[in-house]
Amino acid sequence: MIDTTIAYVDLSTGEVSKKLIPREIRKLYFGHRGIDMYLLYNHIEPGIDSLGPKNVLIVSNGPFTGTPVPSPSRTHVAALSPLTNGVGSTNMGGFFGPELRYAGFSHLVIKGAAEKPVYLWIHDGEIEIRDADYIWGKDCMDCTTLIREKHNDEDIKVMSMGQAGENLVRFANVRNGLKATGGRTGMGAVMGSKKLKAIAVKGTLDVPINDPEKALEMLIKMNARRMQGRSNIVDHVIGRGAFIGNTNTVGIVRNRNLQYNQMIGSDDIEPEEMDRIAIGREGCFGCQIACRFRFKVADGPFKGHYGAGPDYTTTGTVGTEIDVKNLDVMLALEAMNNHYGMDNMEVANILAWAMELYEKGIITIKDTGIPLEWGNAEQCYEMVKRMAFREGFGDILADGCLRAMDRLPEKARYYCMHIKGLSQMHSDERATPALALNVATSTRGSDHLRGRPIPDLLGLPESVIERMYSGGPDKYTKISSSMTSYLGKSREVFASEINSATSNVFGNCGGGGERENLLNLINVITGFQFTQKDLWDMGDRIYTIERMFNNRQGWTRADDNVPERYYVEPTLLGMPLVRGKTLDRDKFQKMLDEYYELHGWDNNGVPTPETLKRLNLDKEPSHLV
Amino acid sequence: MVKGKGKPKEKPEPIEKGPAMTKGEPSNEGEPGVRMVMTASGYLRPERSVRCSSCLQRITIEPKVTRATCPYCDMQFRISWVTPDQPRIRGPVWEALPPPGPWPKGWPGELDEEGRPLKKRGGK
Repeated sequence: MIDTTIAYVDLSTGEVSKKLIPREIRKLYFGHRGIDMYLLYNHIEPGIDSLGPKNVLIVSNGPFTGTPVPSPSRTHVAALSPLTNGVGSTNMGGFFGPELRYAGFSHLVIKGAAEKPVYLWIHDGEIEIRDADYIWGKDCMDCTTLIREKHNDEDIKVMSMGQAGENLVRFANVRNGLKATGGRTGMGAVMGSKKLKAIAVKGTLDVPINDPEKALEMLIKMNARRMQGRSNIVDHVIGRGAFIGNTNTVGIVRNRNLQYNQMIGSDDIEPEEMDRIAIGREGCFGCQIACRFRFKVADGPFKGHYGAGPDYTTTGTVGTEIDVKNLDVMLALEAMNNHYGMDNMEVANILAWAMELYEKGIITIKDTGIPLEWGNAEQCYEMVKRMAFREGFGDILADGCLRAMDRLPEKARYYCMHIKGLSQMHSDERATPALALNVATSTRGSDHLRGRPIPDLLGLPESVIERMYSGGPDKYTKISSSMTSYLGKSREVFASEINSATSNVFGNCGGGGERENLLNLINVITGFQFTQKDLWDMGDRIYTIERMFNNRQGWTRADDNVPERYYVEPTLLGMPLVRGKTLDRDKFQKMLDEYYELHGWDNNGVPTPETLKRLNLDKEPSHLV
Repeated sequence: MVKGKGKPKEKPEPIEKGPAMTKGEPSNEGEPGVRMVMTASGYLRPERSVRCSSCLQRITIEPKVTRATCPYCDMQFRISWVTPDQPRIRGPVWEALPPPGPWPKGWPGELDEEGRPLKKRGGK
């Protein structure tokens, strides 16, 4: 039913070809991140330069994208990451993914590099490579506007990179619309290296539904139930920034580069304050929740900055991490990053690192060119700009953690909060072993979207947690409901990763909705018949092929670790349960052993031959697409 | 030294507390006098309830209040309202928090090593 098309575009030769995706691949990886990871493993040669023409940029939607399934908006982008030299993978909402599907494509594999700036113009089964001189040098918003003007069509959807991508800032992101951002792992820099400024799409083709009547019946019920969920109501009313209320209250956010685990006096950047600056709501394709506000800064030095947000990441990064306590400043920094096309998480983390080095005298104004003081709006503003345009000290930071460390004093290393070269996210996992294991083992570096064991933070009863994580090997069965416990957390992280990978194959936000209905939903939308075990194995397969990719790139067990600071500096703030905590080194290693065993990997994190056979990975790379 | 995070206080300064919250139960049974509502996932939960961010007990918030104190552990919170029936913990009451470092013995909100309230007012 979903015989969709993959297109190969070679920017070096201008050649475009198309192919139907074999059902055999669908059964194993289904779509979106799943198929992208198969393509990544098969199309990237070990040892290539991530910013060279041999890197491959993969852009996709999923089998649910553009259908009436709730929030069917997601676009996935993958490549060898210029930031980590491992799996590059990022996922965004907005309107681009559905439009790409209506234009006739589910996956694009973009190879080579153009000699001069280009963009792809994709419409109803056709792909053209167009001259991008008129949009080169423009920010993400202006780029979209100019392409629409050029084609005289306001409905064109554009995925673009900003000036940061053009300047090969290694954490440049890709964007579509006002807010939707594929932030992580530097996919904008890959676009920049290919001189690919944007992909513009317009489609009017049908998306077939296997059983439309049954789908309608199911989806009406699902959508009604969805808007009764308390967390969805919270997202709808006060936005995705709401989660900062939980984590900053408990004391598991990063403040001042992990010197503190709570930002005291965060009142002004809490989402309840958005009422005074919001000018409307913003949602993605087919989503009733509309979890963001449109905003425009009305007064002060940042007057005129506009965008949509904030989500949890915005508040945690350009808010708590660098100690910005003013909503206008926080939103202006978010808007700047979005216009230039840079990942908020990388920008804030690397800025927080530089600020702590400056505070401790490890670097001085002679190095930085300007003071770098906590929460100082003008200094943050200026350094963000210097990163995007690679000016002065900004040029060092624009290369990302791993490379910047080599250009700064040796003492700076200890204060650099990263995992595998990807900036540590905006949370503090010293008191929460499950979350620590999660960020340490994630296949794209520090990450909260590839297996976040959120129930630990909610105090859910163990019976509920058990129900959520059922389905895998019956080992280390008991999972403690305490967020500070190590008991059963390896299994919790393992199962979270599988569930996360599975939910990322559909191309809608948050997977397929209720787990019980998912198998039926897949069938009525796509015609595929899966069992729960099929889906579990699919998630396991995707996670394992990502691991294989990273192992091939040279990652080892030693990379599955958290910053040294987690083991030696206790938390100082927050609720009683999380105060005075460090991560226990021995217990962490024991969790890691268990985690590898659950995945069927050896002690070095390498999948065993039995695991490869069980997951149909023993013949990879198989080059079926 | 970071402003507001440095000099340890000997004792918490007296502050105005919000009204006490009611104890609630995270089960399908509830307690007498507490109205139960059905969640979207089919569970019953006490109306106007949240989980305490410290001791994680389920507690019911009085309508319209903007500050409240956990009846189990004495932790104080700022409250916002998503809807008239749906409260949310917006954050802690900053003035009620002790200085940086381990939670001082005897400071309101103290928990035992298992994370249970020491206040002994119904904590399980």
